Amino acid sequence: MNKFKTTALAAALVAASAPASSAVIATNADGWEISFGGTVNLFMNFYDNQGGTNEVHLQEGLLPAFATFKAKSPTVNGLTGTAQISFAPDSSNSKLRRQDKGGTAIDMREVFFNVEGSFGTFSVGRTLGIFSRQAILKDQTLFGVGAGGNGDGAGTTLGRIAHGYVYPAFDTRFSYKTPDMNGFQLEVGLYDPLEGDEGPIGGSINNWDTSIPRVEAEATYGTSFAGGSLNLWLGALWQESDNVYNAFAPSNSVDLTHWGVDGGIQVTFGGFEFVGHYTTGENLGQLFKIAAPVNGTNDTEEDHWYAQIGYTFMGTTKVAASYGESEQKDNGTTLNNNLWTVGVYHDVNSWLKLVAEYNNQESDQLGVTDADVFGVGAFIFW
Amino acid sequence: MTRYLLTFILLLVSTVFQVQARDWFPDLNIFGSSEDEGVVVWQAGQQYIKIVPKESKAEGKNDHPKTISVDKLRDVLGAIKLQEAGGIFSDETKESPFFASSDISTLASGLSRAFERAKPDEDIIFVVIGRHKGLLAKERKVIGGRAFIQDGKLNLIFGDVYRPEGGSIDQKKRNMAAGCGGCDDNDVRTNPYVVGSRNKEHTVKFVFADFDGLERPRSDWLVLDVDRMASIVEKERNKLPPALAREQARARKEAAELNLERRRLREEMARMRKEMKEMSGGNNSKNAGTKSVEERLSTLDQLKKKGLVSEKEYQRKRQEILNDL
Repeated sequence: MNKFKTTALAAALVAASAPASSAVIATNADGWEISFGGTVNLFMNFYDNQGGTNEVHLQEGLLPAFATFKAKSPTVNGLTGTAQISFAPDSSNSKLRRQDKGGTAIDMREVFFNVEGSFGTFSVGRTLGIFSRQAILKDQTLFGVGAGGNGDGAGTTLGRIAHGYVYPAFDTRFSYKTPDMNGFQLEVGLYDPLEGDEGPIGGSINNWDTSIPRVEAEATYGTSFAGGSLNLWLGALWQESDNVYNAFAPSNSVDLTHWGVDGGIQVTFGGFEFVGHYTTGENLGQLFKIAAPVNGTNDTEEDHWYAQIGYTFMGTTKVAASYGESEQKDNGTTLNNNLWTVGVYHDVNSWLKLVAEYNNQESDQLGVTDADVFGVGAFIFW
Repeated sequence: MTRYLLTFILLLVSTVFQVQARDWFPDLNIFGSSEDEGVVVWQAGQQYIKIVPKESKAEGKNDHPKTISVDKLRDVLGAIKLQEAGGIFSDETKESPFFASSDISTLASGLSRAFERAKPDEDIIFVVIGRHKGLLAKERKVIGGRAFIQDGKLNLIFGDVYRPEGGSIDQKKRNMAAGCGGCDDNDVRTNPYVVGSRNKEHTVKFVFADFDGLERPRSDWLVLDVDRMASIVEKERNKLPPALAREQARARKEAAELNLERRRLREEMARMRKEMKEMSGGNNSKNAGTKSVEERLSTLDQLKKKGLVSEKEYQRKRQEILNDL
């Protein structure tokens, strides 16, 4: 009996330490591998809203749940194909919607396929945007709460979006990525242009003339050295939008050039991690990467940045702190959002993560009040 | 204006840093280590076999260049087994191959070529990705190692052993959770596959099964007497139960006879085809005129009996021959 208990425990420990990467669940006769992975999270967030009501709200953090289906072909004549479809359901509701038992929505975020060979990777379809994606991927609040709104609403919190970088969003594109060239890689995507509809200048979506694809690009360099690693990235965005309706002067159209450049660094060394990211551009907005002026017809100017430092104990418990700002100048009006974050992120094992995070936000925009937000939550990965 | 200036400075700093960092931080190997160099013997994606300079503190000279046959290496690599617990309900241990079959084919062929080309002050490093047993199904796992021959023995030092293919688990989680399918899960630039080192032990927790000619001076280091192990494998291969050995001998004899019969048949068919061709040459053929109708009908009958012409062909040809009367 003792023997059984010991070996059963050993088997359980092996299972507990299994990697969280999605396992192959089926292989068909042609050699295609089908896998299914995903994640679900929920937080209990305590909001101390300055000048407003205090709230406790059970909701997701920055991330919704994810269910990811992936198919990978065998390599034939040097070509490997992958196709991926993932959707993002919510694990929580707005406080007004408790009668909706099924959650708020299922958001189809990724629908794309890749063709990969020695020449690089061509990708077709919709997935996370290229511009600004490194900022969100390196952000500690990706597995946390960040800026939280007022504590009543549905869906996810903001994380550091609009408080350090713009949202990369899920957009449709054709893209090409070079192979790894001694640590360097370049990816360029031609995107379906977004049409801004913010404020009086925007009017309806039908008032925008966008006849050239948006371009997003990213160059990265990654390497490792004794005890650590280095990541550098440099991204760019450009889109032309012609507004054929102008509330300020209806007879005149307004042409906008949306452009942005971002760059950043991530260094890890002996358990320490440092991340710095900076974005600058025009007509990007604070939240999304394409926006129109609200207070007139001149171009808006945006600057976003954040810095983050962390230390990981025993390879399982990360303690991190960060500060960031998003500032927009819109025809003489300056709007600033800033956010302090301190968090502890503990991996119980490879598939279970516990999080405790404190955030202090000051937000001039987005209807987000100044608030202290403390959240505790958990993620599961498979 | 300030904004354009800032953008320009960001671009300039980034470019200068990326170009100059190798010179600024040479000791950190930020922009490449000796493992990035070397002669590539074989490469497929992230898998490779390379000849590289020996590590700086490595003692002794290697016996390179050295010829070891692919078959011998295949036998020796296949003989490396792991010892595992029998399972929840069994006390018995069982053995399973350490390398996947694709790993063995790749390494046997690649290492054989590499040992022939390497110099005494060079090692061979490798990364192979094979399908190994996983929790639910087979999973692609990485074995990274260093190989060299010293004192007549094959040394294998391992770095990554059964590491899941691709980047770190945290990186994969972030890509999946953020919905960044466009990000590369197999990006190992900041978390590269590790080959073994003489100077630093990478603890390998697996238990290797005992084998005559195999020593394990360190948890990640195997020393293999190739000739001895290969001869044992050969003997094991030949050592079959008497009944099975008799059956195998009988099968071998039958196969040889079958091959002989096939060759005879092929020759016979070739001969008959030639005859058919000559016959089908009709009146224009020289030989057609030299054979009597009777001989031609007889040949045709033989072909029919042997099943080499169908009934329809037989009747048509027969009529043609009779028309020559």
